[in-house]
Amino acid sequence: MLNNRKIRLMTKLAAYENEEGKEDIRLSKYYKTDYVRLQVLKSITATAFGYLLLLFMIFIYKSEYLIENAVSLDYRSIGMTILGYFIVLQTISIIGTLIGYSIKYDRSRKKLSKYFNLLKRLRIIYKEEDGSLMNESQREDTSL
Amino acid sequence: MMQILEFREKLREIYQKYQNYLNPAIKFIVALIVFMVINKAIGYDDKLNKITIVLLLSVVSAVTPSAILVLLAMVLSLAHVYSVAPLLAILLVFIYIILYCFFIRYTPSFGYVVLGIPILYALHIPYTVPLLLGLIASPITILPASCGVAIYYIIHVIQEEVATATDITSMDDIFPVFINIIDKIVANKQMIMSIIVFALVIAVVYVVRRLKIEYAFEIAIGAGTVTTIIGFLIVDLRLDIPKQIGTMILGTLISAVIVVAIQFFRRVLDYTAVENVQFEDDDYYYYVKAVPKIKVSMTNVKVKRINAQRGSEEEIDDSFEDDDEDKREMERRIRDNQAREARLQDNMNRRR
Repeated sequence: MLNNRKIRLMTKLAAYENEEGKEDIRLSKYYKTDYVRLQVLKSITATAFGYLLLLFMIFIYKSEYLIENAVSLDYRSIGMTILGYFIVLQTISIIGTLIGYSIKYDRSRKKLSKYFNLLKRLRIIYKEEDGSLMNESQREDTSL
Repeated sequence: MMQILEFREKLREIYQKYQNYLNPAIKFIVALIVFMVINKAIGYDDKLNKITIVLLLSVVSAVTPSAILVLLAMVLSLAHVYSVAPLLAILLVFIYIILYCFFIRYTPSFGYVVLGIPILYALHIPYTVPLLLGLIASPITILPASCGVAIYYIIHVIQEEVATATDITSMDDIFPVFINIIDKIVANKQMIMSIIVFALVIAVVYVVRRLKIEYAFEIAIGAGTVTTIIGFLIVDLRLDIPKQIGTMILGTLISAVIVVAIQFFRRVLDYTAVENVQFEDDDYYYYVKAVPKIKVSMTNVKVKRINAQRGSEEEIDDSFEDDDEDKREMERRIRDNQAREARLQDNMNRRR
């Protein structure tokens, strides 16, 4: 026989799983530290790649000047400047990623806890259906 | 006011009924506008300007997720630039990738903002975007909004350069154009100042709408509109372009009206979506169509008790009644269980 309460719960759960829950459930497979670390790693790679492209564009832009003065350039100070900007950019992106993705993870946890509550209620309904709730309480009573 | 509410209610019913057809139709119209605006602004390639191509792209965007529309629009803009000067297209690709690596990747779900701002700039109402983002999102959307403004001005610069340069097909001729474009982008004060104003508007709207006051959303839209007008007034006067002031003020007011309308319907549409879900248990497969019950104008039902015992008036909120019913049922069962356990315990003790 159809159990309306169960269907209602399962519908809510399925709707959540289909929409916003997808991301939350994906996140729940990680520990917080692992997730944030992975995102930091991705940020470092992306920032480095973007910075390289930016440098390449600056190189083309200044190519005439660079080729003309190729001998007399102070490569040491240029290198230091490039490295300095790189470190500053990376620091900003790492800190931003740490904060942003920690918040994101915590929020998804909050939503997930509601989801788990619904799951718990569903489990209780299942137990009731099987009549196992009854058996369990009896077992507990006799063990006392 | 009542008539508008009724209209909203009717609209909700229609939307709920024909949701499956309306969503692609709306997406199709949006895509059509996007591709036509791109073609009008930088339509250098005649083949891509054909209406059949535009219609085809729009149909594809209508039936695919919105990220595809953003991608298609980017590819179309690149293809147009490529047909004039391949090197400029490479420059544009580089700029897109750099913006993605530094900013857009942090907010992948707001990709449409990056596309929306240049398109709405062409329609003179880009101010809708920061107002709306402040209302519905968090300040992190400053990143994609800034990218959108930057892309508009970059494409604008490329457009100007292509129009003035005579021959840009050969490698030697393209180099000065490239230098010129970079010079203009870096020295573009209007772009930087616009980004600052947009960021400010998003922040102001966000802060005001989070205040715990009545009509916070409406006041936030008002505050955002005033900030936009004052901000861009300062920009236009500082950069000495008073011609734009008229369009700017008019555009901002139209944007505000659009945002007020969106805000009015948003509440309803948020909860209107019909969910089609499938799941199974041991005995059945379920194909459930869940239609939201909420009627916004009907949520607060006042029950006046004449023979009141405790308090004369009580407010009953009937939204989520299923939830409450379920909870009450659960609580009752748990109470029953506990009572039974207590009874059994009592019996055991007595027997001992």
